[in-house]
Amino acid sequence: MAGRRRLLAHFALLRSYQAANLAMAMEYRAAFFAQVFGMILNDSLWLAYWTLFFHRFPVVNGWGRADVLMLWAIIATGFGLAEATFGAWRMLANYIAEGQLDYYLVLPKHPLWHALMSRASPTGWGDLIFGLAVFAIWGQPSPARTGLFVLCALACGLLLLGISIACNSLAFFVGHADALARQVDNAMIHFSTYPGAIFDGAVRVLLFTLIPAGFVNNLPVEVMREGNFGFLAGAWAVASGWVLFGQWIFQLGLRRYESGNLMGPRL
Amino acid sequence: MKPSPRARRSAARCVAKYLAIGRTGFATAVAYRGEYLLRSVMLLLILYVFTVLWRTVYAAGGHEVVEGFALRDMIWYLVITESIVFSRPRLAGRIDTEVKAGTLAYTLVRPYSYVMFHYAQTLGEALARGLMSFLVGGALVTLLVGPPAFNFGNVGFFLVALLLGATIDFLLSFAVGLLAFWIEETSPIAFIQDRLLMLLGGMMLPLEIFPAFLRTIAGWLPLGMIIYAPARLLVGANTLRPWTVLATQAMWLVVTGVASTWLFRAGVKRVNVHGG
Repeated sequence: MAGRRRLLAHFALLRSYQAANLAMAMEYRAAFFAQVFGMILNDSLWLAYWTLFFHRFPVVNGWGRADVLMLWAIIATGFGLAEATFGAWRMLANYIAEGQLDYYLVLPKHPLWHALMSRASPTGWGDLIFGLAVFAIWGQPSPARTGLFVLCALACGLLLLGISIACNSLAFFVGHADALARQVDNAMIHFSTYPGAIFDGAVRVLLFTLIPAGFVNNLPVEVMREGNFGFLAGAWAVASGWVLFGQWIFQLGLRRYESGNLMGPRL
Repeated sequence: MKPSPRARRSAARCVAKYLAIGRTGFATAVAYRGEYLLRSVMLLLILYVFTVLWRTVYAAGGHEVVEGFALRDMIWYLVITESIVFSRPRLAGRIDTEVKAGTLAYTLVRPYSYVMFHYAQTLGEALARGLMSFLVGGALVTLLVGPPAFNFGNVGFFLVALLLGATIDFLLSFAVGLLAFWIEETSPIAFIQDRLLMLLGGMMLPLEIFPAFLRTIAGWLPLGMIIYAPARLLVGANTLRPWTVLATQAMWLVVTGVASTWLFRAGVKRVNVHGG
Protein backbone atom coordinates (compact mmCIF):
# COMPACT_ATOMS: atom_id res chain seq x y z
CA MET A 1 0.00 0.00 0.00
CA ALA A 2 2.81 2.38 0.99
CA GLY A 3 4.74 1.34 -2.09
CA ARG A 4 1.77 2.16 -4.33
CA ARG A 5 1.36 5.55 -2.67
CA ARG A 6 5.04 6.28 -3.20
CA LEU A 7 4.79 5.31 -6.85
CA LEU A 8 1.75 7.55 -7.35
CA ALA A 9 3.56 10.42 -5.64
CA HIS A 10 6.46 10.01 -8.09
CA PHE A 11 4.03 10.05 -11.04
CA ALA A 12 2.47 13.24 -9.67
CA LEU A 13 5.93 14.80 -9.42
CA LEU A 14 6.69 13.68 -12.97
CA ARG A 15 3.48 15.37 -14.17
CA SER A 16 4.45 18.60 -12.40
CA TYR A 17 7.96 18.51 -13.88
CA GLN A 18 6.54 17.88 -17.34
CA ALA A 19 4.26 20.89 -17.01
CA ALA A 20 7.11 23.08 -15.71
CA ASN A 21 9.55 21.87 -18.41
CA LEU A 22 6.99 22.46 -21.14
CA ALA A 23 6.26 25.97 -19.86
CA MET A 24 10.01 26.67 -19.84
CA ALA A 25 10.38 25.31 -23.39
CA MET A 26 7.55 27.56 -24.58
CA GLU A 27 9.52 30.60 -23.44
CA TYR A 28 12.03 29.69 -26.17
CA ARG A 29 9.53 28.15 -28.53
CA ALA A 30 11.50 28.78 -31.73
CA ALA A 31 14.48 26.85 -30.33
CA PHE A 32 12.17 24.14 -28.98
CA PHE A 33 10.39 23.58 -32.28
CA ALA A 34 13.70 23.75 -34.18
CA GLN A 35 15.03 20.90 -32.05
CA VAL A 36 11.83 18.86 -32.38
CA PHE A 37 11.77 19.38 -36.14
CA GLY A 38 15.50 18.65 -36.39
CA MET A 39 15.07 15.29 -34.72
CA ILE A 40 12.11 14.37 -36.93
CA LEU A 41 14.28 15.25 -39.92
CA ASN A 42 17.18 13.21 -38.57
CA ASP A 43 14.97 10.14 -38.12
CA SER A 44 13.41 10.72 -41.54
CA LEU A 45 16.87 10.43 -43.07
CA TRP A 46 16.99 6.84 -41.87
CA LEU A 47 13.49 6.25 -43.14
CA ALA A 48 14.66 7.45 -46.56
CA TYR A 49 17.79 5.29 -46.33
CA TRP A 50 15.84 2.12 -45.63
CA THR A 51 13.23 2.97 -48.26
CA LEU A 52 15.98 3.26 -50.88
CA PHE A 53 17.70 0.15 -49.56
CA PHE A 54 14.61 -2.04 -49.70
CA HIS A 55 13.61 -0.60 -53.07
CA ARG A 56 16.78 -2.27 -54.42
CA PHE A 57 16.84 -5.33 -52.10
CA PRO A 58 13.21 -6.08 -51.14
CA VAL A 59 13.96 -8.85 -48.61
CA VAL A 60 17.05 -9.30 -46.43
CA ASN A 61 17.09 -12.47 -44.32
CA GLY A 62 13.31 -12.40 -44.02
CA TRP A 63 13.14 -8.69 -43.22
CA GLY A 64 11.24 -6.31 -45.47
CA ARG A 65 10.75 -2.57 -45.47
CA ALA A 66 7.66 -2.83 -43.25
CA ASP A 67 9.68 -4.62 -40.53
CA VAL A 68 12.42 -1.98 -40.50
CA LEU A 69 9.84 0.81 -40.41
CA MET A 70 8.24 -0.93 -37.44
CA LEU A 71 11.66 -1.21 -35.78
CA TRP A 72 12.17 2.54 -36.20
CA ALA A 73 8.66 3.25 -34.91
CA ILE A 74 9.37 1.16 -31.80
CA ILE A 75 12.83 2.50 -31.02
CA ALA A 76 11.98 6.15 -31.78
CA THR A 77 8.89 5.96 -29.55
CA GLY A 78 10.73 4.14 -26.75
CA PHE A 79 13.80 6.36 -26.87
CA GLY A 80 11.66 9.49 -27.28
CA LEU A 81 9.56 8.60 -24.24
CA ALA A 82 12.70 8.09 -22.13
CA GLU A 83 14.16 11.41 -23.36
CA ALA A 84 10.95 13.37 -22.91
CA THR A 85 10.21 12.06 -19.40
CA PHE A 86 13.62 11.28 -17.87
CA GLY A 87 15.64 13.78 -19.89
CA ALA A 88 18.67 13.74 -17.58
CA TRP A 89 19.30 10.00 -18.06
CA ARG A 90 22.35 10.50 -20.25
CA MET A 91 23.82 13.23 -18.01
CA LEU A 92 23.67 11.28 -14.77
CA ALA A 93 27.41 10.55 -14.80
CA ASN A 94 28.14 14.29 -14.94
CA TYR A 95 25.74 15.01 -12.08
CA ILE A 96 27.55 12.42 -9.97
CA ALA A 97 31.11 13.40 -10.93
CA GLU A 98 30.43 17.10 -10.40
CA GLY A 99 28.63 16.63 -7.09
CA GLN A 100 25.30 17.93 -8.34
CA LEU A 101 23.11 15.36 -6.58
CA ASP A 102 22.96 17.33 -3.30
CA TYR A 103 19.71 19.03 -4.20
CA TYR A 104 17.89 15.73 -4.74
CA LEU A 105 19.29 14.04 -1.63
CA VAL A 106 17.57 16.34 0.82
CA LEU A 107 14.12 15.97 -0.79
CA PRO A 108 11.66 13.17 0.00
CA LYS A 109 11.52 11.62 -3.50
CA HIS A 110 13.94 8.96 -4.73
CA PRO A 111 17.10 10.90 -5.75
CA LEU A 112 17.70 8.83 -8.90
CA TRP A 113 14.23 9.23 -10.39
CA HIS A 114 13.91 12.78 -9.16
CA ALA A 115 17.19 13.75 -10.85
CA LEU A 116 16.24 11.98 -14.07
CA MET A 117 12.81 13.58 -14.38
CA SER A 118 14.06 17.08 -13.57
CA ARG A 119 14.92 17.65 -17.23
CA ALA A 120 13.01 17.00 -20.46
CA SER A 121 14.79 16.90 -23.78
CA PRO A 122 13.00 18.62 -26.69
CA THR A 123 14.61 16.18 -29.13
CA GLY A 124 12.79 13.40 -27.28
CA TRP A 125 9.50 14.91 -28.41
CA GLY A 126 10.77 14.81 -31.99
CA ASP A 127 11.59 11.10 -31.68
CA LEU A 128 8.25 10.41 -30.03
CA ILE A 129 6.26 12.23 -32.72
CA PHE A 130 8.27 10.49 -35.44
CA GLY A 131 7.79 7.01 -33.92
CA LEU A 132 4.06 7.44 -33.41
CA ALA A 133 3.61 8.90 -36.92
CA VAL A 134 5.49 5.99 -38.55
CA PHE A 135 3.33 3.49 -36.66
CA ALA A 136 0.13 5.37 -37.52
CA ILE A 137 1.01 5.57 -41.24
CA TRP A 138 2.75 2.24 -41.94
CA GLY A 139 2.07 0.08 -38.88
CA GLN A 140 -1.50 -0.99 -39.83
CA PRO A 141 -2.76 0.09 -36.42
CA SER A 142 -5.62 -1.91 -34.92
CA PRO A 143 -6.48 -2.05 -31.21
CA ALA A 144 -4.50 -5.29 -30.77
CA ARG A 145 -1.48 -4.11 -32.80
CA THR A 146 -1.50 -0.76 -31.05
CA GLY A 147 -1.40 -2.53 -27.69
CA LEU A 148 1.52 -4.70 -28.81
CA PHE A 149 3.31 -1.66 -30.24
CA VAL A 150 2.98 0.25 -26.96
CA LEU A 151 4.30 -2.75 -25.00
CA CYS A 152 7.26 -3.10 -27.42
CA ALA A 153 8.08 0.63 -27.27
CA LEU A 154 7.89 0.69 -23.46
CA ALA A 155 10.15 -2.37 -23.20
CA CYS A 156 12.63 -0.70 -25.55
CA GLY A 157 12.56 2.59 -23.62
CA LEU A 158 12.98 0.82 -20.27
CA LEU A 159 15.88 -1.26 -21.55
CA LEU A 160 17.75 1.78 -22.89
CA LEU A 161 17.04 3.65 -19.65
CA GLY A 162 18.17 0.77 -17.42
CA ILE A 163 21.46 0.26 -19.25
CA SER A 164 22.17 3.96 -19.27
CA ILE A 165 21.47 4.30 -15.51
CA ALA A 166 23.78 1.36 -14.76
CA CYS A 167 26.63 2.71 -16.91
CA ASN A 168 26.26 6.31 -15.77
CA SER A 169 26.18 5.19 -12.13
CA LEU A 170 29.69 3.81 -12.57
CA ALA A 171 30.72 7.45 -12.08
CA PHE A 172 30.36 6.83 -8.33
CA PHE A 173 33.24 4.35 -8.58
CA VAL A 174 35.47 5.59 -11.39
CA GLY A 175 34.84 9.34 -11.52
CA HIS A 176 34.19 10.51 -15.07
CA ALA A 177 32.23 7.62 -16.57
CA ASP A 178 30.36 9.80 -19.07
CA ALA A 179 32.55 8.82 -22.05
CA LEU A 180 32.11 5.10 -21.31
CA ALA A 181 28.37 5.50 -20.75
CA ARG A 182 28.03 7.45 -23.99
CA GLN A 183 29.85 4.74 -25.94
CA VAL A 184 27.66 1.98 -24.46
CA ASP A 185 24.53 4.05 -25.19
CA ASN A 186 25.68 4.63 -28.76
CA ALA A 187 26.48 0.96 -29.28
CA MET A 188 23.13 -0.07 -27.84
CA ILE A 189 21.18 2.38 -29.99
CA HIS A 190 23.21 1.65 -33.12
CA PHE A 191 22.81 -2.13 -32.92
CA SER A 192 19.13 -1.72 -32.03
CA THR A 193 18.32 0.13 -35.24
CA TYR A 194 19.41 -2.61 -37.66
CA PRO A 195 17.46 -5.78 -38.50
CA GLY A 196 18.13 -8.43 -35.85
CA ALA A 197 18.37 -11.14 -38.53
CA ILE A 198 21.65 -9.83 -39.99
CA PHE A 199 23.63 -10.66 -36.84
CA ASP A 200 24.73 -14.21 -36.16
CA GLY A 201 27.37 -16.23 -34.29
CA ALA A 202 29.26 -14.57 -31.45
CA VAL A 203 27.80 -11.13 -32.19
CA ARG A 204 24.27 -12.50 -31.82
CA VAL A 205 25.25 -13.93 -28.43
CA LEU A 206 26.72 -10.54 -27.49
CA LEU A 207 23.49 -8.83 -28.53
CA PHE A 208 21.46 -10.99 -26.17
CA THR A 209 23.86 -10.61 -23.24
CA LEU A 210 26.38 -7.80 -22.81
CA ILE A 211 24.77 -5.29 -25.21
CA PRO A 212 21.19 -6.58 -25.20
CA ALA A 213 20.12 -4.79 -28.39
CA GLY A 214 18.84 -8.15 -29.67
CA PHE A 215 15.80 -7.71 -27.42
CA VAL A 216 14.96 -4.55 -29.36
CA ASN A 217 15.98 -5.29 -32.94
CA ASN A 218 14.03 -8.56 -33.04
CA LEU A 219 10.78 -7.08 -31.67
CA PRO A 220 9.22 -6.20 -35.08
CA VAL A 221 9.49 -9.71 -36.50
CA GLU A 222 9.14 -11.77 -33.31
CA VAL A 223 6.32 -9.80 -31.69
CA MET A 224 4.61 -7.52 -34.23
CA ARG A 225 4.71 -10.02 -37.12
CA GLU A 226 4.85 -13.47 -35.51
CA GLY A 227 2.97 -12.66 -32.30
CA ASN A 228 5.62 -14.33 -30.14
CA PHE A 229 4.46 -13.29 -26.66
CA GLY A 230 7.25 -15.29 -25.04
CA PHE A 231 9.80 -12.99 -26.72
CA LEU A 232 7.87 -9.91 -25.56
CA ALA A 233 7.78 -11.27 -22.01
CA GLY A 234 11.53 -11.92 -22.25
CA ALA A 235 12.18 -8.39 -23.46
CA TRP A 236 10.13 -6.98 -20.57
CA ALA A 237 11.94 -9.22 -18.07
CA VAL A 238 15.37 -8.12 -19.36
CA ALA A 239 14.35 -4.45 -19.49
CA SER A 240 12.92 -4.53 -15.95
CA GLY A 241 16.01 -6.42 -14.78
CA TRP A 242 18.32 -3.71 -16.21
CA VAL A 243 16.27 -0.93 -14.59
CA LEU A 244 16.42 -2.68 -11.20
CA PHE A 245 20.12 -3.42 -11.67
CA GLY A 246 20.77 0.21 -12.63
CA GLN A 247 18.89 1.42 -9.56
CA TRP A 248 20.85 -1.02 -7.39
CA ILE A 249 24.21 0.21 -8.74
CA PHE A 250 23.06 3.79 -8.13
CA GLN A 251 22.05 2.97 -4.52
CA LEU A 252 25.34 1.17 -3.96
CA GLY A 253 27.33 4.05 -5.39
CA LEU A 254 25.37 6.66 -3.47
CA ARG A 255 27.13 5.54 -0.28
CA ARG A 256 30.39 6.71 -1.82
CA TYR A 257 28.98 10.01 -3.05
CA GLU A 258 30.77 13.16 -1.99
CA SER A 259 29.06 16.51 -2.19
CA GLY A 260 30.50 19.09 -4.54
CA ASN A 261 29.45 21.80 -2.04
CA LEU A 262 28.17 23.54 -5.10
CA MET A 263 26.24 26.74 -4.43
CA GLY A 264 24.00 28.07 -7.17
CA PRO A 265 20.45 28.93 -8.14
CA ARG A 266 18.14 26.33 -9.74
CA LEU A 267 16.13 27.98 -12.47
CA MET B 1 53.90 38.15 -70.05
CA LYS B 2 56.02 36.83 -67.18
CA PRO B 3 55.20 38.03 -63.64
CA SER B 4 57.83 40.26 -62.11
CA PRO B 5 60.12 38.82 -59.39
CA ARG B 6 58.41 41.10 -56.89
CA ALA B 7 54.96 39.76 -57.79
CA ARG B 8 56.28 36.20 -57.58
CA ARG B 9 57.75 36.84 -54.12
CA SER B 10 54.48 38.36 -52.96
CA ALA B 11 52.50 35.37 -54.25
CA ALA B 12 54.92 32.95 -52.56
CA ARG B 13 54.58 34.81 -49.25
CA CYS B 14 50.80 34.68 -49.57
CA VAL B 15 50.80 30.92 -50.21
CA ALA B 16 53.24 30.35 -47.33
CA LYS B 17 50.97 32.33 -45.01
CA TYR B 18 47.92 30.17 -45.72
CA LEU B 19 49.98 26.97 -45.66
CA ALA B 20 51.08 27.95 -42.17
CA ILE B 21 47.44 28.44 -41.15
CA GLY B 22 46.57 25.07 -42.69
CA ARG B 23 49.39 23.46 -40.71
CA THR B 24 47.96 25.01 -37.53
CA GLY B 25 44.56 23.46 -38.29
CA PHE B 26 46.24 20.10 -38.92
CA ALA B 27 48.27 20.33 -35.69
CA THR B 28 45.18 21.28 -33.66
CA ALA B 29 43.28 18.24 -34.91
CA VAL B 30 46.26 15.96 -34.27
CA ALA B 31 46.78 17.40 -30.78
CA TYR B 32 43.34 16.13 -29.77
CA ARG B 33 43.84 12.72 -31.39
CA GLY B 34 43.13 10.81 -28.15
CA GLU B 35 39.70 12.36 -27.86
CA TYR B 36 39.14 11.90 -31.57
CA LEU B 37 40.13 8.23 -31.46
CA LEU B 38 37.67 7.68 -28.60
CA ARG B 39 34.95 9.19 -30.77
CA SER B 40 36.04 7.01 -33.67
CA VAL B 41 34.60 4.04 -31.77
CA MET B 42 31.35 5.21 -33.38
CA LEU B 43 32.97 5.03 -36.81
CA LEU B 44 34.10 1.47 -36.11
CA LEU B 45 30.59 0.53 -35.00
CA ILE B 46 29.07 2.03 -38.13
CA LEU B 47 31.53 0.26 -40.41
CA TYR B 48 31.13 -3.05 -38.60
CA VAL B 49 27.33 -2.99 -38.83
CA PHE B 50 27.43 -1.88 -42.48
CA THR B 51 29.80 -4.77 -43.24
CA VAL B 52 27.46 -7.26 -41.59
CA LEU B 53 24.46 -5.77 -43.42
CA TRP B 54 26.09 -5.83 -46.86
CA ARG B 55 27.56 -9.28 -46.30
CA THR B 56 24.03 -10.50 -45.63
CA VAL B 57 22.69 -8.76 -48.75
CA TYR B 58 25.37 -10.26 -51.01
CA ALA B 59 25.00 -13.74 -49.48
CA ALA B 60 21.18 -13.78 -49.40
CA GLY B 61 20.84 -12.57 -52.99
CA GLY B 62 23.68 -14.75 -54.29
CA HIS B 63 25.31 -11.60 -55.70
CA GLU B 64 28.98 -11.47 -56.62
CA VAL B 65 28.73 -7.90 -57.83
CA VAL B 66 26.05 -5.26 -57.25
CA GLU B 67 26.06 -2.27 -59.62
CA GLY B 68 29.80 -2.66 -60.23
CA PHE B 69 30.62 -3.22 -56.55
CA ALA B 70 31.95 -6.48 -55.17
CA LEU B 71 31.36 -6.78 -51.41
CA ARG B 72 34.89 -5.59 -50.69
CA ASP B 73 34.43 -2.54 -52.93
CA MET B 74 31.16 -1.65 -51.26
CA ILE B 75 32.73 -1.67 -47.79
CA TRP B 76 35.80 0.29 -48.89
CA TYR B 77 33.50 2.79 -50.61
CA LEU B 78 31.85 3.28 -47.20
CA VAL B 79 35.25 3.68 -45.50
CA ILE B 80 36.04 6.56 -47.85
CA THR B 81 32.63 8.24 -47.62
CA GLU B 82 32.47 7.92 -43.82
CA SER B 83 36.04 9.25 -43.54
CA ILE B 84 35.07 12.30 -45.62
CA VAL B 85 32.03 12.97 -43.44
CA PHE B 86 33.93 12.38 -40.16
CA SER B 87 36.63 14.78 -41.37
CA ARG B 88 34.28 17.77 -41.75
CA PRO B 89 34.75 20.49 -39.10
CA ARG B 90 31.58 22.27 -37.95
CA LEU B 91 32.38 25.29 -40.08
CA ALA B 92 28.86 26.76 -40.37
CA GLY B 93 28.55 26.86 -36.56
CA ARG B 94 31.97 28.50 -36.25
CA ILE B 95 31.12 31.27 -38.73
CA ASP B 96 27.70 31.72 -37.14
CA THR B 97 29.34 32.26 -33.73
CA GLU B 98 31.91 34.72 -35.13
CA VAL B 99 29.20 36.74 -36.86
CA LYS B 100 26.98 36.85 -33.77
CA ALA B 101 29.81 37.51 -31.30
CA GLY B 102 31.26 40.17 -33.59
CA THR B 103 34.75 38.63 -33.60
CA LEU B 104 34.57 38.63 -37.40
CA ALA B 105 35.12 42.39 -37.22
CA TYR B 106 38.58 41.94 -35.62
CA THR B 107 39.78 39.58 -38.33
CA LEU B 108 38.74 41.92 -41.13
CA VAL B 109 41.56 44.31 -40.26
CA ARG B 110 44.22 41.62 -39.99
CA PRO B 111 46.67 41.03 -42.84
CA TYR B 112 44.93 37.99 -44.22
CA SER B 113 41.68 37.21 -45.98
CA TYR B 114 38.91 36.07 -43.63
CA VAL B 115 37.68 33.54 -46.19
CA MET B 116 41.14 32.16 -46.98
CA PHE B 117 41.98 31.92 -43.28
CA HIS B 118 38.97 29.67 -42.67
CA TYR B 119 39.56 27.75 -45.88
CA ALA B 120 43.16 26.92 -44.94
CA GLN B 121 42.25 26.06 -41.35
CA THR B 122 39.30 23.88 -42.43
CA LEU B 123 41.39 21.96 -44.95
CA GLY B 124 44.15 21.40 -42.38
CA GLU B 125 41.71 20.04 -39.82
CA ALA B 126 39.84 17.94 -42.39
CA LEU B 127 43.08 16.42 -43.64
CA ALA B 128 44.11 15.28 -40.14
CA ARG B 129 40.69 13.95 -39.21
CA GLY B 130 40.14 12.31 -42.57
CA LEU B 131 43.49 10.53 -42.41
CA MET B 132 42.86 9.30 -38.86
CA SER B 133 39.36 8.08 -39.79
CA PHE B 134 40.65 6.37 -42.90
CA LEU B 135 43.45 4.62 -40.97
CA VAL B 136 41.18 3.49 -38.12
CA GLY B 137 38.28 2.46 -40.38
CA GLY B 138 40.61 0.93 -42.97
CA ALA B 139 42.32 -1.23 -40.34
CA LEU B 140 38.99 -2.68 -39.19
CA VAL B 141 37.70 -3.24 -42.71
CA THR B 142 40.96 -4.90 -43.81
CA LEU B 143 40.39 -7.42 -41.04
CA LEU B 144 36.76 -7.94 -42.06
CA VAL B 145 36.87 -8.03 -45.88
CA GLY B 146 40.52 -7.75 -46.84
CA PRO B 147 42.63 -4.95 -48.35
CA PRO B 148 41.11 -2.57 -50.91
CA ALA B 149 41.11 -3.14 -54.66
CA PHE B 150 41.30 0.56 -55.58
CA ASN B 151 41.51 1.84 -59.14
CA PHE B 152 45.08 3.01 -58.55
CA GLY B 153 45.23 4.61 -62.00
CA ASN B 154 42.71 7.17 -60.71
CA VAL B 155 44.53 8.09 -57.49
CA GLY B 156 45.65 11.45 -58.89
CA PHE B 157 42.12 12.31 -60.07
CA PHE B 158 40.75 11.11 -56.72
CA LEU B 159 43.00 13.48 -54.77
CA VAL B 160 42.10 16.44 -56.98
CA ALA B 161 38.37 15.55 -56.78
CA LEU B 162 38.67 15.23 -53.00
CA LEU B 163 40.19 18.72 -52.77
CA LEU B 164 37.59 20.24 -55.09
CA GLY B 165 34.79 18.46 -53.19
CA ALA B 166 36.13 19.74 -49.87
CA THR B 167 36.24 23.25 -51.36
CA ILE B 168 32.62 23.05 -52.54
CA ASP B 169 31.65 21.79 -49.08
CA PHE B 170 33.61 24.65 -47.48
CA LEU B 171 31.85 27.23 -49.65
CA LEU B 172 28.41 25.78 -48.92
CA SER B 173 29.03 25.62 -45.14
CA PHE B 174 30.60 29.09 -45.18
CA ALA B 175 27.49 30.47 -46.93
CA VAL B 176 25.21 28.79 -44.39
CA GLY B 177 27.23 30.29 -41.51
CA LEU B 178 27.10 33.75 -43.13
CA LEU B 179 23.31 33.63 -43.08
CA ALA B 180 23.71 34.59 -39.40
CA PHE B 181 23.96 38.18 -40.69
CA TRP B 182 20.27 38.00 -41.57
CA ILE B 183 18.67 35.24 -39.50
CA GLU B 184 18.85 34.51 -35.77
CA GLU B 185 19.57 30.78 -35.91
CA THR B 186 21.47 29.02 -38.70
CA SER B 187 21.92 25.66 -36.99
CA PRO B 188 18.69 24.14 -38.42
CA ILE B 189 19.90 24.99 -41.95
CA ALA B 190 23.33 23.50 -41.23
CA PHE B 191 21.61 20.43 -39.83
CA ILE B 192 19.49 20.00 -42.96
CA GLN B 193 22.61 20.50 -45.11
CA ASP B 194 24.43 17.76 -43.16
CA ARG B 195 21.56 15.32 -43.45
CA LEU B 196 21.06 15.92 -47.17
CA LEU B 197 24.78 15.48 -47.67
CA MET B 198 24.68 12.13 -45.90
CA LEU B 199 21.80 10.80 -48.00
CA LEU B 200 21.99 12.49 -51.41
CA GLY B 201 25.75 12.91 -51.20
CA GLY B 202 26.12 9.13 -51.22
CA MET B 203 27.60 8.65 -47.77
CA MET B 204 25.31 5.79 -46.83
CA LEU B 205 24.63 4.27 -50.24
CA PRO B 206 26.35 4.66 -53.62
CA LEU B 207 24.04 6.56 -55.96
CA GLU B 208 23.83 3.46 -58.21
CA ILE B 209 21.55 1.88 -55.61
CA PHE B 210 19.07 4.80 -55.90
CA PRO B 211 16.05 4.63 -58.26
CA ALA B 212 16.98 6.06 -61.69
CA PHE B 213 15.26 9.47 -61.33
CA LEU B 214 16.77 10.15 -57.91
CA ARG B 215 20.16 8.99 -59.08
CA THR B 216 20.10 11.47 -61.94
CA ILE B 217 19.10 14.34 -59.64
CA ALA B 218 21.62 13.43 -56.93
CA GLY B 219 24.36 12.93 -59.51
CA TRP B 220 24.14 16.57 -60.61
CA LEU B 221 23.77 18.14 -57.17
CA PRO B 222 26.87 19.61 -55.50
CA LEU B 223 26.31 17.16 -52.61
CA GLY B 224 27.22 14.17 -54.76
CA MET B 225 30.36 15.99 -55.92
CA ILE B 226 31.59 16.24 -52.31
CA ILE B 227 31.38 12.58 -51.29
CA TYR B 228 30.13 10.20 -53.96
CA ALA B 229 32.17 11.39 -56.94
CA PRO B 230 35.65 11.27 -55.31
CA ALA B 231 34.93 7.89 -53.69
CA ARG B 232 33.56 6.46 -56.92
CA LEU B 233 36.69 7.42 -58.83
CA LEU B 234 38.68 5.16 -56.57
CA VAL B 235 36.33 2.23 -55.89
CA GLY B 236 34.26 -0.20 -57.95
CA ALA B 237 34.00 -1.14 -61.60
CA ASN B 238 32.61 1.22 -64.28
CA THR B 239 34.01 4.24 -62.47
CA LEU B 240 32.94 7.75 -63.37
CA ARG B 241 34.77 9.60 -66.14
CA PRO B 242 37.43 11.60 -64.25
CA TRP B 243 37.31 14.67 -66.51
CA THR B 244 33.50 14.79 -66.32
CA VAL B 245 33.71 14.71 -62.52
CA LEU B 246 36.33 17.47 -62.43
CA ALA B 247 34.35 19.60 -64.91
CA THR B 248 31.13 19.21 -62.90
CA GLN B 249 33.00 20.05 -59.71
CA ALA B 250 34.51 23.13 -61.37
CA MET B 251 31.03 24.27 -62.37
CA TRP B 252 29.75 23.91 -58.79
CA LEU B 253 32.87 25.58 -57.50
CA VAL B 254 32.04 28.65 -59.56
CA VAL B 255 28.37 28.64 -58.50
CA THR B 256 29.05 28.19 -54.77
CA GLY B 257 32.04 30.55 -54.93
CA VAL B 258 29.97 33.35 -56.49
CA ALA B 259 27.12 32.78 -54.02
CA SER B 260 29.30 32.81 -50.91
CA THR B 261 31.36 35.80 -52.12
CA TRP B 262 28.16 37.75 -52.69
CA LEU B 263 26.85 36.74 -49.24
CA PHE B 264 30.16 37.67 -47.60
CA ARG B 265 30.29 41.11 -49.24
CA ALA B 266 26.65 41.81 -48.42
CA GLY B 267 27.18 40.60 -44.84
CA VAL B 268 30.33 42.62 -44.20
CA LYS B 269 28.43 45.80 -45.14
CA ARG B 270 26.23 45.12 -42.11
CA VAL B 271 29.15 44.98 -39.68
CA ASN B 272 29.21 47.93 -37.29
CA VAL B 273 32.51 48.48 -35.51
CA HIS B 274 32.46 50.55 -32.36
CA GLY B 275 35.54 51.76 -30.56
CA GLY B 276 36.54 50.37 -27.22
